[in-house]
Amino acid sequence: MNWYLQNGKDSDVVISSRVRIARNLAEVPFPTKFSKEQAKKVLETIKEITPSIGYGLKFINLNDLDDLTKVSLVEKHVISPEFAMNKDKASAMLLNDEENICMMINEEDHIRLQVFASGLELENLKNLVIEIDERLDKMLHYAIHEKYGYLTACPTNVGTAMRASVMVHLPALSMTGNINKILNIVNGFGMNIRGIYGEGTQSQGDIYQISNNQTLGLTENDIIKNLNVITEQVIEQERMARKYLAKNSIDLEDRVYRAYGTLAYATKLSSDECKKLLSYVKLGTDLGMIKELNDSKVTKLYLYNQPANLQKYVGRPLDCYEREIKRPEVMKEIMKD
Amino acid sequence: MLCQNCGKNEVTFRYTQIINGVKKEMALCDKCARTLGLESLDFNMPINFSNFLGNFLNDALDTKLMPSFTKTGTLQCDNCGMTYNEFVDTGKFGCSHCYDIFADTLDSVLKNIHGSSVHVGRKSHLTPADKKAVKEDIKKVEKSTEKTGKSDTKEEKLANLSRQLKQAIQEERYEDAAKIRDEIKKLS
Repeated sequence: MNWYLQNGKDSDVVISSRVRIARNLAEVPFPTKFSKEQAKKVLETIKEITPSIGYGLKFINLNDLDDLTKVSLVEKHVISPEFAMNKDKASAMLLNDEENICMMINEEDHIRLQVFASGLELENLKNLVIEIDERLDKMLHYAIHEKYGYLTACPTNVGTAMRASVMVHLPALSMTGNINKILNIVNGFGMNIRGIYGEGTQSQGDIYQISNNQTLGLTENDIIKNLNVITEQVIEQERMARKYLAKNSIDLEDRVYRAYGTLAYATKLSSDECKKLLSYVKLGTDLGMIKELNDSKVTKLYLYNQPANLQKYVGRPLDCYEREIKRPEVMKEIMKD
Repeated sequence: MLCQNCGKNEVTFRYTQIINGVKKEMALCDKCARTLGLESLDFNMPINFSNFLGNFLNDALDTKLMPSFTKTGTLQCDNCGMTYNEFVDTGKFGCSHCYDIFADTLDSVLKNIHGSSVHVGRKSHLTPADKKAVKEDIKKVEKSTEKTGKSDTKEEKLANLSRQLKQAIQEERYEDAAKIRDEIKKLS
C-alpha cells in the first residue's frame, strides 16, 4: 500500500508531507532557454545514471504515459499539473514503485526531486532527499554559485532550492470561523498557506498546504525546523477547535452523520460535492463518531473520489456523467470492504 | 440548468471571466466546454507571477543612477542570450551565467524575496577541482583507446574496457578502475 493510502504521524490533521529540491546541470542552460538537443542531452545524462542512483527508481518518458495515468499522478500530488500538461519539451521522470520518490526532469528546472510521506514526517524526508542528492552530486555537475547556492531558473527557488510542505485538514477551524486567523498567523511567520482545491484562501474540503517561502539565507535544517514548529501549532489549534465543537456534540454529530448518510446512499455524486462530504466524514471518523469507518477506508475514499483515480479504480475511461454515477458505487464498495 | 451553447445537456462547467472590470459568464456542458477549448483550464489557472518579480527589479533600478539604468536595460547573457528585459517579463533566468551577468540588481531582488542574498545551506561535496580531475581521467582513457588500430575484437574489447573504466571512475569505485586500467595496459 503506497504512502498516499497510509496514515502517518498526526494524520488526524496532517494528511501528508513533502520535501522537494531543485537542481540544474552546469553545462546546459535552464529549461527557460535550452534547445531541444540540449533538453535531450539532459534526459540522456539522467537516463544513463538512473541504475546507479538506486532506490528502485525507473526512468519513465512522459510521452509513454497516457493522459489518464498522468492526471492520476497529479491527483496523488506526485507530479505538478504543469509538468503533466507539458507536450513540447523533452520531459521524463524517475519514479519508484512505492511512488514516494519522484524526480521530474526538465520541468522548470532540469531536476525536481521530491519525496513524500503520509502524516508529519519532515525530518525523515529531509534526510532521504539529502541522501539522494549526495548520490546525484557525485555523478552530475550541478550549477552552483559561491554566493547564491544552488542555481535555479526562478530566483524564488535559489539557494537551498528546497521547498518543504505539509497538507493539513482543518475542518474544525473552518467551522468555528477561525480559519482566517490561522491563515494570517502562518503568513506572518514567513510561511505560505493556501487552499489546495478551490480559489484563493477558501478551500474545498478544508484542505490546506503550508510551505516555506524562503529558500535562500537559511539552512535546510532551519527550513524543516520552522515548518515543523508552525505545523505543530496549527495541529494544536485544530485539535482544540475539534474539542470545542465536540462539546455541542449534537450539532456536530448532525453535520457528520448527514454527510455520511449522503455518501452512503446517494446515487449521483460530483467530485466537488464528494470532497465536502469527505471532509465531514474524515472528521467524524477521526473523532470516533462514525464507527463503520476507519482511517484506512477514509484515505481510500479520498483517493478514488478524484476523477482520474476513479477511472483507474473502475478500469476504464468514463465521461463526466458516467463518473457521477460510478462514484457513489465505488464509495459504497470501499465503505463496505 | 441546460447548456447555454447547445441547449441539450446539463451544465457541468461554469466559466466566469472578469477582465478590466467587465464580467462575462458562461454555463456549459462538458462537451461544449471541451469544444470551446475551456476544459483545459481545469488545472490551476496559469497566473503570471513573473510580473511580480519584474516589478521588484524595476523598483531596484529606480534607486540607481541613470547611467546604470540604461546599461542594465541592454544587458544580455552571452551564454544563453537572455536579455535583462526578458528576465523582467518572465521572472526566470536562462542559465547559470545569468546570475553573474545580472548580479548588480540581483542582490536587492533576492533580499526582497528571501530577506537575504547569501546562501548558508549545504554545498556540493566535490570541489570543482575534483570534478575536473575526474573528467580529465575519462578523456585520457578515451584518447588512449582511440590510438589502437588493431583487430576488431581487440578494438571492441578496449572500447568496452574504456567504457567500464569511465563508469567505475564516475561511481568512485577506484579499486575496480585500477584493475580495468591494468587490463587496458595489457591489451594495448
